[in-house]
Amino acid sequence: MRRLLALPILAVSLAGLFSISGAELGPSSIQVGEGQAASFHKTTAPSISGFGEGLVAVPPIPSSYHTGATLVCSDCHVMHASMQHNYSGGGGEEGVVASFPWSTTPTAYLLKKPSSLELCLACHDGRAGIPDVVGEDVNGGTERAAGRFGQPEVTSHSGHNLGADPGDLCTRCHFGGDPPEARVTCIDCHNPHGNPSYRNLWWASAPGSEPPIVAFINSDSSGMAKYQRANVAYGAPAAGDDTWREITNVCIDCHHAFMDGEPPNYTNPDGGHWNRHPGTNTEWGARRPINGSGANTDPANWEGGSGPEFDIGRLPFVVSGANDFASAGVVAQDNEVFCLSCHKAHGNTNSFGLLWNPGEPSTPLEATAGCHQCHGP
Amino acid sequence: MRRLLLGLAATLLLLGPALMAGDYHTGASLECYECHVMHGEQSHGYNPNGTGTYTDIGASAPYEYLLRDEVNDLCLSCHNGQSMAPDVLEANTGTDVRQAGALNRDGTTPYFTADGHTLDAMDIAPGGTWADSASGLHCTNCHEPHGEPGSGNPDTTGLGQYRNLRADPGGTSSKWMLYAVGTNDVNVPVFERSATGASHYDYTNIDFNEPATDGSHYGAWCQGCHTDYHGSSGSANMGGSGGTAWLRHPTADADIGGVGGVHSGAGTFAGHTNKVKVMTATEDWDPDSTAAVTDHTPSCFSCHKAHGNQNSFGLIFMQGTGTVDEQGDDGTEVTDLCKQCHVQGQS
Repeated sequence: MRRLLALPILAVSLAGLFSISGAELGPSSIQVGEGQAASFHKTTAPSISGFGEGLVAVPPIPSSYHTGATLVCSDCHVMHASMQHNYSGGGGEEGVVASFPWSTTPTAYLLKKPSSLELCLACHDGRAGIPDVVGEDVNGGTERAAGRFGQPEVTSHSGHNLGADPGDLCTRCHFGGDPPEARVTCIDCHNPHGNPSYRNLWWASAPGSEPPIVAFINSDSSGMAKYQRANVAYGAPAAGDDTWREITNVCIDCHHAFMDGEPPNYTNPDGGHWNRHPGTNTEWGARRPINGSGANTDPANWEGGSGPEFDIGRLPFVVSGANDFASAGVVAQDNEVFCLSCHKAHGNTNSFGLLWNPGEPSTPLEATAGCHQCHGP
Repeated sequence: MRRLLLGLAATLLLLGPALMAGDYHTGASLECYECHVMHGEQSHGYNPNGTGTYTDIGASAPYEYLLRDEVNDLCLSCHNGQSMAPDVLEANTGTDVRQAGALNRDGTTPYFTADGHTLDAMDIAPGGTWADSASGLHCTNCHEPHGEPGSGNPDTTGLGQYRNLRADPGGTSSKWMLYAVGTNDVNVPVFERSATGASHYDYTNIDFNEPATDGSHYGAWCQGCHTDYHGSSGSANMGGSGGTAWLRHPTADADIGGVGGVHSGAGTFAGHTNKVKVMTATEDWDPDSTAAVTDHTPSCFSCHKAHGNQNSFGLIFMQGTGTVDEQGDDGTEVTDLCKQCHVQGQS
């Protein structure tokens, strides 16, 4: 994802990090270094072990694959870096291995591929019946909720750049890092061993420390349809509820400078006007309904949903306090904007992974369609 | 028709105490004529009047080394389908749950050739370069037929090598596998509770010590053929130290729960009713959930039956509950085995 951290802005941000107290800045002071990045997150997450034990406020999260009974060690790991045959005793294809006998270069963590990225994509790219996250959707879906990555190791201007060895989280962008070229790998955001959260999401900066991350899947959908935009809806915990977080809580770990919070913060440093687009970020106290005071929006237009700007589909939105797919899909003027309102989590073919094509000069409306849904025609 | 060495069986009973000097096929229990015949044929027994039973001669006699038959067929003439000797091939004649499991030979269901060591196989040992390309895998590739402990063996008890394992598997040398019988000695790798009785070869009769925290005699022995699969942390083929994560599953030098966090869990292991075999220096091979499990180390036998079983790779699918058999217990897949120790995904 090409990021807006131009050098001047970066310099100001970094200077601000070291000269402004945590209270002034809003979020916790940024400390860069292994094990310290957890301070991006203000809220102490409840123990995952406590999930389900008295945490009655946490909505039910649809179980993903790679978790619980669907966490099959041998899908990804090989004990001795070679196998004479598959687990059925034959030589036919099994998982990411096309045929047996088979051997691989011994890899850290006993992985079946030289990197976790290559391992993930051995299934999640171009294999029917498995969510396809790169390029065209082999499953023929209409629109993937998370979108699509470009090819690994190729800088994409349309989403996250996949890379097998992206390096230390913080220095991908800071202290000599190059944000537009920064890479991500699957397990930055997704727990390979699964967890109770939506799509096994976790905090890149402190994996395993996150609270339940929640989104809702249409229970009437099945198979690959569960990964389609039309079958996913988004909620956020109600005010005062810190037992779970919305899906974009994981974006904080890398995109903290774009995240909204209680003023002063990155988006509104002086408490007066917006320097960056607001968006709901419950951990930092930001709740941004479209009909919020001073939002300069057209809530009625949003609620009506009938203008040509809606030809691209109604943008995703957040419903605070929603606890299922149905309630998270109710359109209202107080629907909230968040990262995924405008961006695909993985990316797409539009610049910045936007849900509309901002570079379409022949149709100015299309180039700004997303904007108009909330801000009026 | 194979004839049982009934006279020998009686001899075994009389020599019971002497069998403590090694289990069988060694010392006083090494009976030459059980396996050898001098002239390639035999017309009567060894009693003065010509009676007495003896192992049949194979149809293609004479055989090299004056053997009565090809090596595997000879061994199996006693060690398959006979009640007076441990049954090592496929289904068990006895009632014990064999610690070593079962060899396979013809791939007959349910003992497929993918399920363990295959007699007569010409294949190269996985992870190594060794193969018996002349005659295929045979018993004496692993077991010393005369019970010789190997030149320089440090044994001082007279027991020699556990199960007469060769000291030079795969052409290596000094692969000592000493053992104690009756009273444990934590300085030797194997503890055999009893060298007699119906449970002599049962999994409950055998446990494994850890004389060195950074090594496994058992793993080192298997490495004689399966070269790349074994070693301590820091070895090039294993990884596991100096900032390098393990490259292959440890067979030594990695205690359950030793790393902490979300890797393996000592409590996870201790919490299972049925546990896989592990090495420990504390003699507490079956810790309960309240025990401080600090030095339990997996090795080859934790996951695999030495001979094999009915599961692919001879793996032991031990979920932790149910009746223990040679395939594991109520477990049905390899993930059940992994979860004996590993905690990933179980939060």
